[in-house]
Amino acid sequence: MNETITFTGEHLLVGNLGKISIYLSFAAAIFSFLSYFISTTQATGAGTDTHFWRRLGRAGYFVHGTAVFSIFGLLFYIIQHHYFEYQYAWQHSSTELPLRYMISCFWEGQEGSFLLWMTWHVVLGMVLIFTTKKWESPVMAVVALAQIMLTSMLLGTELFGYKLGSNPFNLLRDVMEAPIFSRPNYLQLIADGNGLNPLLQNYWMVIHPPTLFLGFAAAIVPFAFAVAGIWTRDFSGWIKPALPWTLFASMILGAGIIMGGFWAYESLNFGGYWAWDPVENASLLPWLILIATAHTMLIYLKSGKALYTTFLMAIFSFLLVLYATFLTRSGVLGNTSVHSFTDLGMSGQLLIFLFLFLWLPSVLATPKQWIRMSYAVLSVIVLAANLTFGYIEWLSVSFMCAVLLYLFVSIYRITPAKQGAEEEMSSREFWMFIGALVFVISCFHIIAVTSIPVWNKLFGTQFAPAADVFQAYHSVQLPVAIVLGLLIGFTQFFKYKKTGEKHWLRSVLEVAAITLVLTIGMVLVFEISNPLYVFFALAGIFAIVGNATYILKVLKGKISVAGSAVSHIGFGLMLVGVLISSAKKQVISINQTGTSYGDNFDEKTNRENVLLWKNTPVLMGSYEVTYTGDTLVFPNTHYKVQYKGYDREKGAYTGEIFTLMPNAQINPKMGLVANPDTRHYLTHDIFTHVTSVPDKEATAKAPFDNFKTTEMRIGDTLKTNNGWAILERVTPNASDEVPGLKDADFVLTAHLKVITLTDSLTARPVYAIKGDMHASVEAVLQEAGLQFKLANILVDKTNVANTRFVIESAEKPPLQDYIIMKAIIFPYINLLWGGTIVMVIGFLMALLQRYRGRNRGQQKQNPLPTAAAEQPVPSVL
Amino acid sequence: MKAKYILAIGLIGVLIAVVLTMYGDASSYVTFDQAALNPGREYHVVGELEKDSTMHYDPIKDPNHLEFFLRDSLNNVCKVVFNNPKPADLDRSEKVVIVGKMNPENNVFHASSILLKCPSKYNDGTLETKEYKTGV
Repeated sequence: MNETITFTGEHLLVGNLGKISIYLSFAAAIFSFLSYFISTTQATGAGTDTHFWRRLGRAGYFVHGTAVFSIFGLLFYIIQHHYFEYQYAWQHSSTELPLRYMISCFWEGQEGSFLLWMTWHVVLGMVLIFTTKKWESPVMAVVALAQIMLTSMLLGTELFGYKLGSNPFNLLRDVMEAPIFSRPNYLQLIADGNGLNPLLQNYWMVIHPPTLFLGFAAAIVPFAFAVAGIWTRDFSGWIKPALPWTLFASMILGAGIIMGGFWAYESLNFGGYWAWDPVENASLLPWLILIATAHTMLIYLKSGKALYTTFLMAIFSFLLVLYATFLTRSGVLGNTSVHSFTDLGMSGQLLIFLFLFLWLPSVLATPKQWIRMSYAVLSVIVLAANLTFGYIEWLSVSFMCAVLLYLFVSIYRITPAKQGAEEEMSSREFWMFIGALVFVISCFHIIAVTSIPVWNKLFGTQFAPAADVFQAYHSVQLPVAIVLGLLIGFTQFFKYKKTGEKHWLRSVLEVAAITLVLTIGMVLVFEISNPLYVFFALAGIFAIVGNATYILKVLKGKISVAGSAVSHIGFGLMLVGVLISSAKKQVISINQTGTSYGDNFDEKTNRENVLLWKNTPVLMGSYEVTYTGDTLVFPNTHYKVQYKGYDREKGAYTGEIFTLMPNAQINPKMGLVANPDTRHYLTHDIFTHVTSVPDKEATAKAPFDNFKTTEMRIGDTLKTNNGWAILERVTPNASDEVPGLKDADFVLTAHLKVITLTDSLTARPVYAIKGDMHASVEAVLQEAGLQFKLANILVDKTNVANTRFVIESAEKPPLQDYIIMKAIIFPYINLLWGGTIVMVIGFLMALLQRYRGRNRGQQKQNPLPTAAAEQPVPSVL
Repeated sequence: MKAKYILAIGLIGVLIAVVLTMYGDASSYVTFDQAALNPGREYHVVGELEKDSTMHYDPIKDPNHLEFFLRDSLNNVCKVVFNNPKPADLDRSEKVVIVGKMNPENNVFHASSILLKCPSKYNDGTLETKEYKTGV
């Protein structure tokens, strides 16, 4: 129906260019994948052809990359120029959005975040092309395949009746049905876009998502190397080039997760840095397995063991990225997460993406050509059946489980085991391996709990997430962290392969003695009584002391090889920081008023918010806290909360004084969006956020009543319910402009001093005369709930002092100015932040160490001879 | 070789234990009647706000006390007490999920957390337009 109308004011060129770029990037990704695929399968045949196909693959990838960058640029152009005819710009931005937050629009919408992910893959792919040498073709084939899947999420075209992806360049009028789109000038009626979620208008939200997505994107590299190893039957050669990438992905993803935690702490109002929200967990899952992967890779490189586990770890770290994507974007989480994406109808496509990459390693690991062929055919039949008849639950679920199981079996069968290798308890690799398994347990548990909505869908159950979310996660994750801390503390003292036990025991006993002393000290100082927490503290301290000793004694302070030990110290600091800041966190805003609700309910936890009247100080903990007023910095209202240190025992101020400015956006569409403000000290933080404010706008809009007309002389007092008003004087105005009356003959202003219970204010109503017309402008004092109007002047010509001024007063309930706020002290939270930074630095050091080692140790023999020569490269087609 | 199998069996054992823990910790979606049968346990109740009956929140008297009525899927209405400030968009919410337990003495549901499902500006695509007329 739209065809007949010529719309005005639209900018269609940029959108058409964008759509062309999407199609081009899709086609180029397919081309690149096929070329790299052929290049890989022909690798064992005539060598000349592989170079040709590899060059084609590269060319395809460069075209793809250029197209992806132009999609990114064009979409940004649309947002920046406020072209609201495009649905993406209309839904995720607005004219008042500052430039620095326009980039955040990309990750508010699903399409933009896929685009970000693709862009990182492009960048990483370029690096891979130039650095992987003989691994280029198989590795890039896998990356290009992922790019095909990701680009398909942006296509927005119909294929055999199925909608593929969602196109960010869709026009609003094509997406939405509304009567205004029948008007050619509809764009003039769309004044502004929907705007960006205020929670995303924060500088952490500008840098945290790209970091996280770089981590996600980098996780494909170890996966691609593992698949390449299986594909080319070079089972061991892939690990060495993949290890720096694994460390890189762990480092970036870790940094991204920590930034997310810091953002939550700085600008969300749940009062903490980690809430075990499914979206947070989704980023944690691949990270845990990436770290485990790095460890098993090291085990293999040093001892030739754990090859099978390394394959599985590398494969699953990326599969978990895909699973996390499915979890947060398919809408399956529904009620359980506050900030997952809404369903764009892409869940089927996301499932296929996940399934394809689960299926890929297993089909490549199948040795016999005919089995491989029938496996592929069977999979296509299952897929086709699902697409034709709608989602067939039993078939899909059982097939997926079968493929998962077969993945384990097929890789196990082709992985060469190290001959005659005996596990040695007193070797470093044994305990590193245990550590990797503990990571698997941790990850498994988080998947199990987070996926409850998925289990409900699969098995038709009706489980709800645990009522006490923290308890549900901590019951397993706390012991896991304790075991990890202990493992980290002593494993470094073992040597690879075998260690003399005496030597080991002496070092560990020393460390244990120091740890014990420190732990007892800490338990006494912080009064930790929960035995689980005591062990937690012990594990953290043990990890720190163990690795510090290792750097000093074993490495003799050689910091260039201390990456892992530094990382481990960071982890230990993190544990200690988590423990003290959560176990000893103290809500100081305990309310003293209110009624009792019965004995079975915990009183203390229910009184964590305090109402503060403006300018009325309240004692909280060791502070006297005063709310001193608010200022509007559009679109946020900042509330000034003054803290004055107060010693209750001495009854005197300590001299410490500071003002916090928690802010809130009273958003008509989203309710109260509050951002906390925190005073940072080295040893503790004072966290403050506003939980509720009175609706000032509603009070301001409320009508006045109780109208009263009083004749007043200068000096007279008018009594109202809200306060007294004294007519101090009446002065002529310099200006003759009064609203509603131009060029007045004369203008008078009455000065009324208004005294309320809490305040002293001035009201200045205005009166103007022009010929026989007159006009009045009321003075409104919202904070006092009073309004004054100078309605008339009764001039007494004989006695000027007897001149009476007719004042019309009106009242309403005064504006209530208060805030309800919560204040929490987090002790030693800097140990947590410091620990995480140290850990990331450790990753970087280890990465540099591996990178240097890569160049130095080229001639070193691999622990296993490669099997490439013996087995032909399978071809699936 | 032996240690390898011991590890594998140990790992499987721990994983099964983890699943059992999860099963034990999981709550379930119930109605008020079912929650009343087991007053000590925390449950999830999904319902709609009773818009006709009064919501009580007087921050000046007690900022940590909110009372409202919720209608569950079986059309039972129950009084809910939430010891926190009132969520600003509670009035607009279409669906409310409350987590908490029943007080058997007075049949009041004490919610420890509230999840709101609101028609959100940022999630769905309800069109917001302004019309400018001339000659006001």
